[in-house]
Amino acid sequence: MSDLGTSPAGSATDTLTVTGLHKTFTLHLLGGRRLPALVDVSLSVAPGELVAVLGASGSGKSTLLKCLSRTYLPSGGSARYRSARYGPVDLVSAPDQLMVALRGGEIAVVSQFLHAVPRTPADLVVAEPLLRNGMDRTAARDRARGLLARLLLPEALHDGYPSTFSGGERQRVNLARAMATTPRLLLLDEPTSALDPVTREAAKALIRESVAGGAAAIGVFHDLSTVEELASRALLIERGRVAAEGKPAEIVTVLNG
Amino acid sequence: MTLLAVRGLTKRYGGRVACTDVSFEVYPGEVLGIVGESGSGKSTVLQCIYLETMADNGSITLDGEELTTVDAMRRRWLRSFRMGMVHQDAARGLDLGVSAGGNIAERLLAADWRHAGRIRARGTELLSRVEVAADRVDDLASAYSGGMRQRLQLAKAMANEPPLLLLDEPTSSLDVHVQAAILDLVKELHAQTGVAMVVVSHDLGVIRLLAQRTLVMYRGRVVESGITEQVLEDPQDAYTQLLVASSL
Amino acid sequence: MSRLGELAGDATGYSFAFLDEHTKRELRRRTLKAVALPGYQVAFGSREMPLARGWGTGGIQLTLSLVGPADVVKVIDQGDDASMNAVNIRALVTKTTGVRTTRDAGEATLIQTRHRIPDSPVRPGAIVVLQVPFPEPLRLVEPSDAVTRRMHAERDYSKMWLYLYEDIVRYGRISLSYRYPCMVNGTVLMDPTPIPRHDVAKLHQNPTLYLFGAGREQRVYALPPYTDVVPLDFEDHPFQTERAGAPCARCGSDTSYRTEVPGQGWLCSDTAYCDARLGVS
Repeated sequence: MSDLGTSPAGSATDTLTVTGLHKTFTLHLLGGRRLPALVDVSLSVAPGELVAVLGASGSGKSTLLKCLSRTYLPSGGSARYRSARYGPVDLVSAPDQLMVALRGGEIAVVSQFLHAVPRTPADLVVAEPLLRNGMDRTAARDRARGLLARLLLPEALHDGYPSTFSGGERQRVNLARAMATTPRLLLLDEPTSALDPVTREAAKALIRESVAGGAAAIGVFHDLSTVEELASRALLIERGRVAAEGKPAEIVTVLNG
Repeated sequence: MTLLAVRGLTKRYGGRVACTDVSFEVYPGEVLGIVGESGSGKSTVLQCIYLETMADNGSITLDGEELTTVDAMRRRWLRSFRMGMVHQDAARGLDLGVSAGGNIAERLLAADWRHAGRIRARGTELLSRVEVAADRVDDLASAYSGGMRQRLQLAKAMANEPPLLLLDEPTSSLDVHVQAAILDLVKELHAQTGVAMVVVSHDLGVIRLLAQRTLVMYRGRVVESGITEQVLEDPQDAYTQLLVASSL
Repeated sequence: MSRLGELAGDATGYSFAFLDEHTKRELRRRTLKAVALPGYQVAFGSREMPLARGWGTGGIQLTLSLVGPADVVKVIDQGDDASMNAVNIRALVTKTTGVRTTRDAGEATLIQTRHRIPDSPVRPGAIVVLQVPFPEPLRLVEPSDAVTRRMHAERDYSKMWLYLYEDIVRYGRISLSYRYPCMVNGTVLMDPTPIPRHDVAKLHQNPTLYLFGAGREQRVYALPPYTDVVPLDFEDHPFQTERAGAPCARCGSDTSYRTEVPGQGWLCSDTAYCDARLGVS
C-alpha cells in the first residue's frame, strides 16, 4: 500500500476523513445470515480533490459510497465531514435529520440509477433542492435549465418526465440535480456510465469544474480513462478493505496487474 | 428547533395495546413518514397527536407546548391553528352536508373571520391551491368525488396555515390515477408552504415519494427509523426487511 | 258548587298563586341563578300546570313564582292582550292571586308575553317574562343535548356561524327570521324566543329584567338589566330588523312592529300600543 503523504487520520483541512469504516449486512429473511461488505476502509479527501475508488465488482465500492451518503447504515468506524454550516459531523453517527439537511445541499449523491420521481418534470427535479433551500422559483428553474443545457439534454426534454427518459437522459438529470446546489462533497457512483462520448465530456467538464471550485469528490467510474483524467488520487478496494492507494495511474496498473 | 416531539407514547384500548413507547421528533418543514401494516398502531399515533384520542402515557409537545394535558378549548384552538388533519375517510374530516366553502369557512370562523365575502374569497383561493375550480366553492361537499374530497380536506387543514399537517393514509381509498394527483399536490403544497408533515401509510411508494425520514411500526412499536432511502435500501429490522422485500 | 269544590273548600284551596311555597321558592332560586349567569340555561323542576305544555307553562310558573299581592300584571300573546292564550293565563293569575291586571305596559310591574316585547315603554323596575318553546339556540345545528352543552361550555359556536354562512351562500342573506341567535355578554349564545328581529334589537343594554321560561324543556334563563345582547352577523351582512311595508293603517305609527293583515293592510302587532295612540282603551 503506497501512501502519498496523507495519513488515514487526515489533516485538519480535509473535507472528509474516513477511519475504519465497516459495514455488514444482516439478512433476517435468510435466517440472519451476515454479509460483510466493508471490512476496514480509511481514506481522506481534501477540497479540490477527486479520489477514485477502484476495485472488482462486489469489492465494496458502491457500498462505501452508500455508507457515506447514509443510504446504507454503516456498522462502525467514522467518517468525519467538515460541514460549512454545521461544523464537524460524523456521517456514521449523525442524526438522521442532520443527514437529510446535508444531503439537501452540501453533500451531493449521483447514483448510477435515478429513482425517477413520477410526474415531475426534469427541470423541477433538478430545481427541487434549490427550492428547498429557499431559492426563488424562476431563478431555480433557470439554473436547472442551464445545467441541463450544459449536459446537452435537448431543450424539448427539460419539461419532460424523467420516468419516460432513456438511461443516459436520466443520468444527466441526476448529475444536474447533484450539481445544482454547488455541493462541497460529491459522491459519484458511475455518473457517466450511460452517456455517449460527447455528453460524457460535458459531464466530466462539469465535475472537473465543481472540484476545481473547491468540492471534494469520491468517485466510482466504470472506465479507467475517466479515472486517469479526473482523479487526483485513487484507492483500490478488495473484499471490503483498502488494498492500495496512490496516483491514479499507479493504482490502475495494480488493478490491471 | 423541534416542532413536534413525541416521547414514550402509549395507548391501550381496553386490554389491547395500540401503540407502546413511541418516540420521535418532527422538525419544521420536514416530512416524516410512518409506515406499517394495518393494526401496527401508526394511525393511533396520529390520532393521539391530533388529540382525537388521549394518550395513556407519554408526552407530546408541539413547539414546546405539552398537548396531552390541554383542556377542550385549547385543544380546539390547536386543531384549528397549530395542526391540520387529512383523514383517509373524508367523512371524518368534512361535514358533507355543508358546501365546500363552508367546510373551509368553519376553520376561518374559528379564527374570528366575520366577513362572509372574504371568507368565501379565501375559501376559493384555498380551493384553487388544491386545484379545485372556483365555481365548485358553493357545491355541497357530498357532491365531491373521492379525490376532490381529499383536496377539500387539504384546503381545510391549511386554512389557518398551521405549521404541522397530519395525513392518515391520504390516498389509500382512491383510484390509482387520482392517488398520483393527490400525492403530487401534497408534494407541491409542501414545496410551496414548507409546512411540516407526518404521513402515515401502509404504502412504501407513498412514503418514498413524500417522506425524508421514516419510522417503521410493527405491533404497536417503532422497530426502525432512518432516512427514508436508508430504510428502503438497507432496512435493519427483520420486519422492515420483509416489508421491503414484499413491496411491489 | 261542584263536588270537587266542596271537597277542596275555600280554606283548604290552592296556595296563593297556585304553586306551593316550596315550589315558588325553588323557582326563585333557579331564577336568581339564571340572573347571575346571563343567557345560561338553568334547569328547573317544571310542575304540572292547569295548562297544556307548549301553552306557556314555563312562563306562567315564573310569573306565579314572582307575583305578589301588590303587583299589576299584563299578559300578551303575539302583542295581543285579547288572544285566547293570553286571556286564559291572565284568568289563572287573577283567580289564584286576585292581583290587578292591566293592558298598559307602562303600568304593569310584571308582564308575561309570548313572541313579542311591548312597543310601549315598560315601567322601570318591571319584570318581563317570556314564554320559550325551544331554549337551545344550537338545536338548529346539533341534535344532541350532551354535545350542545359541551359546545356552550367551550364557547364553540363555529357550527352556528357556519349555519349563517351557509345561509348567505344559499340565499344571499341570513334568512333566519325568528329565534335569532344572540351572544350574551360575549360569552353565551342565547335563543331570544320567536320574537321578531325588531324586538331582538331592543334587548341590547335594555333597562328591564327579562326572564325566559321553558316549561316543556324545564329551563330558565335571564337577561338582567343592561346586558350586552348581540345578534350574530357578518360585517358584510349585518343584522337587520324587519321592515314593514307601510305605517300602521290604524294609528299611523312607523316605529312599531307591524304585520300585514289581509284586507286591512299593515297594522301594529302590539294592540295595546296601537289603542293607546288612538286614545282607545
